[in-house]
Parts: sequence; C-alpha cells; structure tokens
Amino acid sequence: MNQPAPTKLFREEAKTGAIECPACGAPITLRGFGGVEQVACAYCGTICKPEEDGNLNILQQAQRQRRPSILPLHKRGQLPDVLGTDAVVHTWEILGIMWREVVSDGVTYPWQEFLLFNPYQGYRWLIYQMSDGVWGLGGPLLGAPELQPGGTPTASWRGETYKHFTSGNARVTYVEGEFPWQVLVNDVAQANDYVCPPNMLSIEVQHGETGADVNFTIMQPIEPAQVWAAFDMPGAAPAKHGVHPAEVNPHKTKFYAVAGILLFVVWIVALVAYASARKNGVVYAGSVVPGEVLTEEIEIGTADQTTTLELGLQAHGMNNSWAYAEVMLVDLSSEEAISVGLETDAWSGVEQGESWSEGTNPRRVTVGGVKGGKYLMQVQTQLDSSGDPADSLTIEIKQDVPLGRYMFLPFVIIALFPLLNLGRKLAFETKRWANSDHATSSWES
Amino acid sequence: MLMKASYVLLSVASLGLLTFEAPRGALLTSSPARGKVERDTKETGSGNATIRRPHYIFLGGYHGGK
Repeated sequence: MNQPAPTKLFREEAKTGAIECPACGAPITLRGFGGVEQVACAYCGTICKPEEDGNLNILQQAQRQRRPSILPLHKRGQLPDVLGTDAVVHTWEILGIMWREVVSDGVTYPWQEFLLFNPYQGYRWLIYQMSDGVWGLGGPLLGAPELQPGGTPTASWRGETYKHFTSGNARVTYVEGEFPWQVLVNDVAQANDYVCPPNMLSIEVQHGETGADVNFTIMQPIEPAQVWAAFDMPGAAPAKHGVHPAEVNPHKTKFYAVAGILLFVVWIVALVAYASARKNGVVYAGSVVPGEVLTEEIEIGTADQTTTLELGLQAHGMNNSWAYAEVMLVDLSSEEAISVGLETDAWSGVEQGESWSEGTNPRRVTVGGVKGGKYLMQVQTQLDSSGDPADSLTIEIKQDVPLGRYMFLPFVIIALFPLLNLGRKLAFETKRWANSDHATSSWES
Repeated sequence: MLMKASYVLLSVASLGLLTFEAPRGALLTSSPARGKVERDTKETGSGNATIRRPHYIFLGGYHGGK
C-alpha cells in the first residue's frame, strides 16, 4: 500500500543550481534560501513561485519590459541596521525590487522599494522616492502600534506618539527579483504612514481572498550619499530636493531658548546699570537772538573722559521757514573745535480743503566721543527770510545722555536669531507636511 | 553651528558695547566735524550781526602737510 508522504514542516534546503525562467528561459538563481515565496524574472518579468520539487510555477506572465531601477538587483552594500541600537553596519544584498505608486489629487507619487537581505539579520527595505530623491531605510516592526483615531489620528509605539502623515492606496507597478511573500503587479495595499522623527511607522493593509494582511514597518530617513557610498555606486547620487516625512528638523533646538533667556537677563542688568549711571545733565540752555553770534564758556564732563552730547535747536514763532544754527565748541588749549550744524524747519498749509503741517522743530542731534573739559561755545545762526521767520531760537546742550541705539541694539540681536531660527524651523515643517494629508497643521509641529 | 556661534558672538559684542562703549558713545552716533579754528581779528561784523569777542572761524578738518 502506498502511504501518503508526510507533510513537510519546512522547505527543502536551498539548492544552488541554476533554474530557468519557464517563460523566457533566462537563468534564475534563488538567493533567499528557504524563505522565497516568489521570484520575478529579471529579464522578462514573469513572476513564478518556487515549488518544493525545485521547479518554478508561473504566477503572472510577463507583460512589461525591464525597468532600470536606481540600484541594480543583487547589488550588495554596507548599511547600518535600522532596527539595531548600535551603529554596526551589515552587508545587505538587494534581493527584490518593487516599484509602487500612489495617486493623490491626480498627482502620481512613484517610489522604488529595494528588498535587502542578510542571512543573519533578515529582511530590510530601502525606499527611494522618485519624485524628490528622498531615501528611507526600514524594517519590520517588532510588534503592533496602538492606533488612536481622531481629528488627526495618532499611533503609539513604545511610549512615542506618531502623528498621522498620509494614507493612500499603493499600487505595485513593477516587480523584479525574489520576495518572501507573493506580490504581483497591480496589487494594491492601503498604506498609512505615521511620523515621529526620526522614525516613521508604515501600516499596510492588503485585502486578499483569505482576509486582510497587515504589515507594520518602521522606517528612518537616510541620506542619498550614504546609500550611494554603501552600494559603491559610480558618480553622485541623484539630488535630493524634498524632506523625508521622518527627517529630524535640523532647526529644532533648545539652544536659542536657553541662550536667549540668559542673554535677555544679562541685557536687563546691563540696561539698568547703564541708564542709572547717566547724568543726562544740562550743560547749557539759553536763547539766541537770530542773526547774532552767541559766545559762552561751558564745561563738559570731566577732563580725560569722553562723553555724549545732545544738542537741540528750537525755533519759536516760525512757520513755512527754516532756521539754522552752527554750534562750535572750541577747545581753547588746542584751538581745535567740533562743529555741529542744527537745522529746524516748520511748514504748513491747506491743500484741497485739508490742512497739513510738517517739519522738525525742535531738532536734536546726538554726538559722541566728546572729550571732557572747558570749551568756548560759539553759536552762529541763519534764518530763512521767507514765510514767518523765527522770533527767537533756543539752544540746549545736554551731556552724558542715555542713547537708545546702544540700549536696544542688544535686544534686537538677542531676539533676532531665535526668531530667525523659529522661521526656519517652521519653514522646514511646512515643507515636510506639504506632502501629507494634513498640510495645514504644519504649524502644530 | 555657525549661526549659534554668530548669535553668541554678536549678542556678547552688543552687550559689551552697551556696557563699555555707550558712555562714550563714539561708535553709534554721528561724528561732529572736527578741525582747527582761527581767531577772527577783524573788527567789523558781517552785515548787521553783533559779534562778541573772541570770535573764531572754523577752518575744517585737515591742516597738516608741508
């Protein structure tokens, strides 16, 4: 009596002999050991399933030409393990290539997925976004996140909250190489991505005849140059001009908050010390008869110290006219002088039924670096004879005046850089979330 | 990193200006014209102006050279 053969719990040990594609006859070598569920011929694209007897059974006849992917099939590279906690790199071989795409608002977003295999580490994914040159490296999630629906759905995984990024139907457009599961062109899976930089969770649900197949993947961004170097590819990697959904915001830092607060406190202390130490004293205040020369001896500050002066000229009873005073401070010991011109003006009138007025009266000018000591002040004036000339002019000179420009310059600098950084941070988040389903919520991040 | 270093550097520099330079006020204020003066020895004033003595005429900036 023939007894039925016992059911095999495991696939036969991998055979290294070449297998031919049943469609085109091209040689196919299975490299994924016993875990290969299907293999797509790299030459004609026919998708086959390895049977236990070593033959290949056609699952999907080729209907396409071979597409040149950005990385070639069976290329090996050195990359760190996205699931690992250390920076140890492993050798990975590209076992399978899959092109997929989602269509959102009539725009197609295609990407290439490279199935990486290491016999000791298992399978990982290297993903290349064809629309913006962004790369990601992912692996299977060791567990399942907890989903929390709401206005903006979130997912919780190991104490981290992931924000929903996008959902869409990802369709397979091209398959090449080996896969540990069956994947056919035009297979559609609902992909839901959640981000918590530097990680992204991808939850894919594919409905089949026997129910829904749910896959959880964790992904991290990887720089194009690192991929290029890892696989020893010639030339330079295609330029990246997008932001990976899980890319860490390079402008996210506590530095400006901490440094800004410290500097602000120092500024307040310095401001109080500076303002309270200013005498702001009047050196001279008096009137000048227009047309006459005023000469007066004044004493400014203390000898061998420099100070600031504020000179003011005010014209009284003046309209549609101007007045000018040249204030000269003569150091009698050296016969050197500083000269400051002050011009004041006042204009007014009625135009189209509306009255207007403009001009600067009084005029104040601040000068610095004036040495202390005795000076002979000489004021010469000029008046505009048109309009209503000034009846009298008043001159006022103050010394050691507090200067707002010195007081508020530090504040501007202390506040400017954190604001600039905030702007750059928000611009980055706006760019990140522009490709998401929640483009308007970018400011929340 | 460059931006952070610039931030600290410029902030400290501006605070230094406030603390040490602001009392002098030589950097962030308009500079008055400086130069030699000459005593005006003419007895008559210009026009109807009344001029008290001594009266100086501002000669302006550079008076060096040969």
